[in-house]
Order: sequence, then C-alpha cells, then structure tokens
Amino acid sequence: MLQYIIVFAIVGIAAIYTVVKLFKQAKNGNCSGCPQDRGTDCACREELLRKNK
Amino acid sequence: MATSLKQLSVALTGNPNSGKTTIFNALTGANQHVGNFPGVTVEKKEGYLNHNGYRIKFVDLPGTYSLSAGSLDELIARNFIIEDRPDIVIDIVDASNIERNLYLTTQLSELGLPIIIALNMSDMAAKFGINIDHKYLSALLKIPVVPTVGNKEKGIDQLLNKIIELAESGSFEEPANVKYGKEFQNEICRLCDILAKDKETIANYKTNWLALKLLEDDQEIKKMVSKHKHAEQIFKQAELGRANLTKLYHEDPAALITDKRYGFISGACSEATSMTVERRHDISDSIDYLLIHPYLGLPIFAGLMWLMFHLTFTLGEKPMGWIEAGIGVLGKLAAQIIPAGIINSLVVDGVIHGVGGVIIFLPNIIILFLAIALLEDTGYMARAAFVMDRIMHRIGLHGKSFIPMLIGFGCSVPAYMGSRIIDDKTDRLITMHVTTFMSCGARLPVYILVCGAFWPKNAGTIVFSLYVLGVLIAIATVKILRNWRFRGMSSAFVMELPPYRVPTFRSLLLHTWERSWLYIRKAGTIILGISIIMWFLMTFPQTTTYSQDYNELLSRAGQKEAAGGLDVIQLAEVTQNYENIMAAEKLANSFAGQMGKLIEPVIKPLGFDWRLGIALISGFAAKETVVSTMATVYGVGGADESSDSLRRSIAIDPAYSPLKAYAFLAFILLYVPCMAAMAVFLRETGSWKELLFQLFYTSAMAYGISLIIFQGGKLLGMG
Repeated sequence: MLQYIIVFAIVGIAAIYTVVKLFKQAKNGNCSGCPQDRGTDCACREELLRKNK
Repeated sequence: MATSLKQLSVALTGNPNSGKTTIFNALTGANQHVGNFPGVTVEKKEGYLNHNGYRIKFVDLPGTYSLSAGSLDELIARNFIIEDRPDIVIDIVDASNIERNLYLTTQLSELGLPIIIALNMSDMAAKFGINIDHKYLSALLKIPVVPTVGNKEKGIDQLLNKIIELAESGSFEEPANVKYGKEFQNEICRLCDILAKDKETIANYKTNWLALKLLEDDQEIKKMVSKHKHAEQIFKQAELGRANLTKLYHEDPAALITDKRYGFISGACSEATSMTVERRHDISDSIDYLLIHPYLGLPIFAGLMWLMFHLTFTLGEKPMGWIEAGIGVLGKLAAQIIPAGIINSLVVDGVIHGVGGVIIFLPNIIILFLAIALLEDTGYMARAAFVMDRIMHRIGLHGKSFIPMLIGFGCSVPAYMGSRIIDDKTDRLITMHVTTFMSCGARLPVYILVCGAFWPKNAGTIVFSLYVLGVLIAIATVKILRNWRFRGMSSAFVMELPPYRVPTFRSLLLHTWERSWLYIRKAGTIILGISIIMWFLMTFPQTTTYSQDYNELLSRAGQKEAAGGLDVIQLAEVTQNYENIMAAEKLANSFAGQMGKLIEPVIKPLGFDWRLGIALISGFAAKETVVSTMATVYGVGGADESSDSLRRSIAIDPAYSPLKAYAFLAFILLYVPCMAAMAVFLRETGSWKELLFQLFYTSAMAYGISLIIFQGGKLLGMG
C-alpha cells in the first residue's frame, strides 16, 4: 500500500511539474539565447539579462 | 519670393574621388558659399538651389571612407549628420568602385536619416565591365538609387526630383541594415537597456547605433556618453561586451563589425551587379566561385548536408554504445537494489528506460550541432542560403527566408522568432508555415532510433533523405500558399556573404554546448516528467483480464517439465513466451493502451499500431518523448529485464517493417511541432487562425505523405 502511495505522489508531482514547465516554456519560447538578427525587441532579452546578473 | 519657399537642407557625402564636388557643382552652379566647419579649419561648402517650390541648401561634407571618427574629416561628416540633422543625405557612390563606396552607405543607413544614393560615374563602371541593376540595388538596400554622371550633368534632374519626392512624402523607409549576428545583438541589447535610462543626453542618437559604436570603442562617442547619467555602468558593460566578443572570435569587435559590413555589401553586389570581365579575385571569391556556382552550388550543399548526417551516425555510434551500456548497467543495478514491485518498475521502466532512451543520443546531438556551428562560423551557411535563394525566388520567396529555415534545423522556436528578419508580413507568414517542415534537432533521436533499427548500414543516408523530404515539402507548401492563400511577389533582400573565417575553438564549443545543454536539461525535466506520466498510463490499471489463464498454462508447463516432457531450456522458453504475452496484454489494457486503441483505426491505414499512436501523442509535448515513450513501451511491455537495446527490440518486433518505419519517420518529420513551438508560433503571428491552419495543414500533410509512402510501398510490394 505504501508503495502505491509513494508512486501516486511521484506521478502527481511529475504531472503538475510537467504541465507547469510546458506552460512556462510555451510562454517564454524555450529561450536559449537571442536568435540572430532579432533586434533590440528580442523576446529573450529579459532571460539573457537575468542570466547575466 | 524666396521666403515663401519651403526650406530643405541636403548633405552631400561620399568617398574621396567619388565625384562629390562635381555633383555639388552641378546641383548648385555658382550659387556657393565657402566657410569653415565650426571650430576647425576644414572647408565647408554650402550651395543653394530653388527647385519645385523648395529652397534647397546643399552642404558638401568632407570626403570620407567611413564614419568611424578615425580622422577629422570623418568626425566632421559624422557630427554634421547627427547634430545638424539634414533633411536628406545624398551619398555619392562611385559605381566603378561600388563595394568600397558602399561601406560608407552601410554606416549612413544606421543613423536613421533619409538617404539617396547617387550612383555616380556609371559610365566609367560600364566601361570597366560592371553592370549595376540600380533598381534592384535600391530594392535590396531600401534606399532610392539614382544613376548619375556628374561631369556630364547626367541624372542631376532625376536626383533633384528624387529629393523633392522624398521631402514631399514626409516619411522614408528604414534602410536595410547590416546584421551583426546573435552575439553582437546580445551585447547591443544589454547596452541599449542602460543607454535608454537617460534619453535626454542621447536625444540625437539612435541607441542601437551608440551601442555599436561603444563596442567599436569609438573614442568620440565615449566622450559624448561620459555625460550620460549611467556612464560608468555603460563603459563597464561595453568593456565586458568587447571582452566577450574578443574572447569568442579572437578578434577585435571593430574588425568584426567591418567584416560584417563588407559581408553585407558583398551580398548586395553579388545580387545587383554583374561583371563582364574578371575584375577581382581574392580567396573568398575563388571559394565562392565554387560554392555558390549556379550548377555546382546546390549539389555541394546537398553533399555537405549528407556528410553531416553520415558523420552524426558513424562518429556517434561508439559513444552511443558506451552510454547505452552504462544505462543498461544502471537499470540492472536499480532492479537489484530496489525490491521488486511497483516502485522498481517506476524507476527501471519509467525513469531509467525513458530518460536513458533519450540520453543515449547525446553524442549524435553534439556531433550534429558541432557540424552546424562549424558551417555557420566558417561563413558557409550564408552561402547555403545564397544558393537556395535562386530556388526560393523561383517558388516565390527569397533566400532570406531560408535563414529561419536553416535555424529550424536546430529548433523551431528560434526559427519562428528569427522570421522577424523578414519585413513583409506575407513573406514572414509563409516562411513560418514552412519552417515547421525543417526537421528540428529534437526529431533526430527518433530518426537515429528507427534508422539504427532498420537500416543500420545506411542510417545516415535515410536521415538525409528525411531532411530532403522536409525541404521539398516546404518548397511545395510555399508554392501552394503563394497560389492559394497569399498571392503576390516577395520583396527584395540583401543576401549577405561574409568573408570566410577560421572558426575559433571557443566559439564552436560554446555554440555546441548551448544546444547540447538544452538537450540534457530537457531530458532531466520535461522528458523525465513525461516518462513518469507515460509509465503510469502504461502500468495502470493494475487489474487485467487476460485472454487466457496464463498462470494455469505456466503451472501446466512446470508439471510437464517435472514429468520429463520438457527440458529446462524449453521450459524457460515457454515461460518467457507466456510472460511476454501477459505483459503485452497488460500494456494493451492500460490507460495508454486504451487511448492508443481509440486512435488506432485512424492511423491503421498508415501502418501504425496503437503503440506508435501513443508515442506520436506524447511527441506533441516534446519530440524526444517519442523515444522515451517507445523505451517505456518496451520496458513495461517486455518481461525480460535483460532484454536487448531498444533498437534491437524494435528491429525484431514482427509488428514493424522498414516500410512502416519510413512512413512513421515521415509522419514524425511533418506533423505538428512541440507545444512550445506552437505557442511561439501563435505569439509571433498573433493569429489563432494561422495557428489552427498550421495545426491542420501539418497534420494533413503528415497523414497524406505517410499514407502515400505506406500504401504506395505496399502496392509496389515493398512490405
């Protein structure tokens, strides 16, 4: 029984984490750096600045 | 009467000996005034002309090769343009030496003022065998171009008319600017943010231009910026940016900027000029002669791409085997340590098989991105876009559209965002719709898995064929969309041809690491999460009604062995067989199995069973999860803990054949990209209609092509 409780907890956490992560990624565009030629309105700029701090 | 005339100020600039003064004289005649520029002894000539209701003041600026403030003349010309802000700048370009003269144009166009190019000495250029399509050059640079012959006063009226036309219109199109690349853009972004904090001090300047000048270490600009409220922070950031760029390229940023500008010019000239005689041949030209040759360029590009995928496979094979073996050991170890039961299955079948199945392809990903970085950093990718330009033009797009498409070979997300370089909305939309068909890096693990299973000796060629298929479908799509949804022709662009360079080790490493780290991160986050969910969906419900009483059959087999009817090996085989059937039935009855069975009738004509169906559904979250899902299918669905590698398991599975495998790969290539990419697509297009069209079109295309492959192959007796 304990095994099942642990497994369901892990699956539940994984499900919530994945959904949140996917939404976050969709919102941020999975930014890994400004693509070439984007100009100063680059959507990734905030992320880059945050990384740079 | 002169007071009722509208006032217009026009600055004349150009290289020394470009015929600037001749044009100035032709425009103003004897109506000139000679003085000095403020504070210096450099001669300042002004002239006036009344024309079509305008009193035009012409200022003849000192002849300069650039606006880099390297000499007093350059500084004066620059300061006059920025501080006095003439209404229009006429850039006198010596047509017989166009490449060198356009260098100044690239700098002028960054200042944000209306420019007209007077393409002077066009007669001399023709004599030298240089033919310039000035209309096309104008369309490429987005600057009006008027051919002139100053000493014969040819084109002067047209130049005046153009001045009036520009003044009357009250607005001007932003000229095409040089693109300095991702790393430069990042540094510019950072500087712009600080510069924008005190707009008063820099009111006359474009922040982008200032940032670029600071990266060039322009002393005059630094003097001006020292009055900025955040000067210290700006200088620190500029120094940091310069250091980053120097470290990355092993070259001074100012030299790199010059290279980029000449790359831009070289691209514009290659498109808008033709030579009737051999004029100049440097190393870049000689290499370009071959690489962008009208007939050889495309086969060379195709050959290089094939080589890239071939190496991705052959070089990746060994390290892949090592990681696979390591994951196998880890799986066995976990199976021994964790007591048998549901947690054991979660860790071994869900986490280790699922994530491990994706991680083993890391060497291939590293090799692919290293190859892409190498092609990009040497300057070849720009040539590839140039070669594709001809094809793209024929189908209704331009080579510039191929750049986001090339980025799409890495990831669709930056590719969609990269489409912003295309100004025309229709061109941009078409480019975004077709970029989806460029096979992203996340699909590669699926190709490697399936190709490795069915065509171990020709895997590289099969993968190459998929990339070609993607490009062909993209081309067909452009044609369809051009004829059906978005009519009209594409606008002109400069295809840049930067000089070839030997890439630095650091830059290659950085580019490869960025992509590889993203892959690892994805495996440890989203893929891990989805692997756990898929494991759950494949393991539950636990209660299964089997088609036969296998426990009874197993006990009968045991009795038979005791009675001597079976030997130990035969018993083991029978037991293994029943256990496999039980595991398969259990999987078919799971939540995932039920979901898969639900969609099976739809995908059956493509030769796919429900297992491939759920793998495809999971691929909507991230394409790599197709692999992890397959790994979990064979982990959960296979009773034997020490089973072979996933590739072998798929290869020996009687449910699949090479024909089905290729139809499946074509589906993976063409169907909707991942959720993140779709969200970016929506954000970039700002249209639900376009997103829905994209989802429908890609799904229909994937289904249609896979159907043709499978059913067509069957008709031809291929499987």
